[in-house]
Amino acid sequence: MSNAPEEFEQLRKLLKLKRYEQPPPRFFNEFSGQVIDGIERAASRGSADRFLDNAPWLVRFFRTLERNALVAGSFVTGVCALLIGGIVYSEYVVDQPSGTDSANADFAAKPAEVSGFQFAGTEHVSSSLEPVFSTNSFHGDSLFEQGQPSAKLVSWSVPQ
Amino acid sequence: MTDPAPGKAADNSPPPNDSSSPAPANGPEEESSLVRRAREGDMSAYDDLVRRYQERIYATIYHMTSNHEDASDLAQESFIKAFQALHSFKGGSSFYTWIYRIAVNKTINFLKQRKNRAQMSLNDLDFNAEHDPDLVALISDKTPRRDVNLAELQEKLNAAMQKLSDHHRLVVTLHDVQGLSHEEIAKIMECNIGTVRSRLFYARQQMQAYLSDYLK
Repeated sequence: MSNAPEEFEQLRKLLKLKRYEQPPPRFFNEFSGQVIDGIERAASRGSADRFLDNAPWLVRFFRTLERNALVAGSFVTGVCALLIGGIVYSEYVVDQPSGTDSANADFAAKPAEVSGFQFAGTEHVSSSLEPVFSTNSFHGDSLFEQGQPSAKLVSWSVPQ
Repeated sequence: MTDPAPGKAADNSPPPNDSSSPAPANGPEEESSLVRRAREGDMSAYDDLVRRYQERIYATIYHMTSNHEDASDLAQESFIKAFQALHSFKGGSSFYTWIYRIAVNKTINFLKQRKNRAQMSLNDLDFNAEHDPDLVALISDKTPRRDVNLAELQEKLNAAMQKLSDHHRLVVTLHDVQGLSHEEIAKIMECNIGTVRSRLFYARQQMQAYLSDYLK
């Protein structure tokens, strides 16, 4: 490999032609002003523009939508289909009795001992394994009317 | 293998425009002072920096894209990006190398996206091109209508450059058109000098093959 000047002398002479290519007159007189304007514009731009600057894929996506009507149409159709599908599905879910509701009802119907927990205050069982805090005070009809967890006095009796 | 001194043009003939003189016009102290002031928000200092390097940056991008509008936009974006990133400029290299690196990276990214929709928008040739003895020697044998042939030659030359890969075109642009040394190009491209030399050799070979009809 040799980069000797004489080897590519003709080519280098021809490449000199590139140096004679000049931009339009006054281009460089206005250039720095345009750069400064660009810096000031960039500083005053909103957060949405700055977000788009950091997400060039989103900008490319929007440009593709602008350029290609087929892609834009497909995208809009897809979004509409998703929206309608979501509405239909939510209607279906509201109409059906859900499995979790019945399971909760069953659980509420069971006696406390069957579920393996006993609440302090409902029955006097003294054990060091009993929970100290209880949430057994169901007042009213709604779960939202439950009292706050409260500390209960626990009697510790040692088995004979 | 010759290697021009840093900051000197690759050949001895004077460059026909400012864009091919790679050495900064003023000393490094003044440049660092301008950079410091620009970092503090002094726009007039940054305006001075832009004016100092605008022709070289524009010319590099233009020779890479062969398109005036793209070169203008990319050069502006490069200077804007450089200002926004000025706080990260630590002064490890000169501002001149740093801004070149930003412009080159931006251009290569742009060219990757542009790929096949390359469209040339060439600048007019300076009037002095017709009087350059090297160029006159290249065309005078063929036809007396020099202006037409220079324009044709310009188009063929740009088309041949566009056939090179981005990195090969960049090396030819920086070395053979702008007159930067191998060392300076290696700093800008963040590669070693051997890579620059081998890319230059390969690129010249390719160009010579593409333009063989005009180099007899």
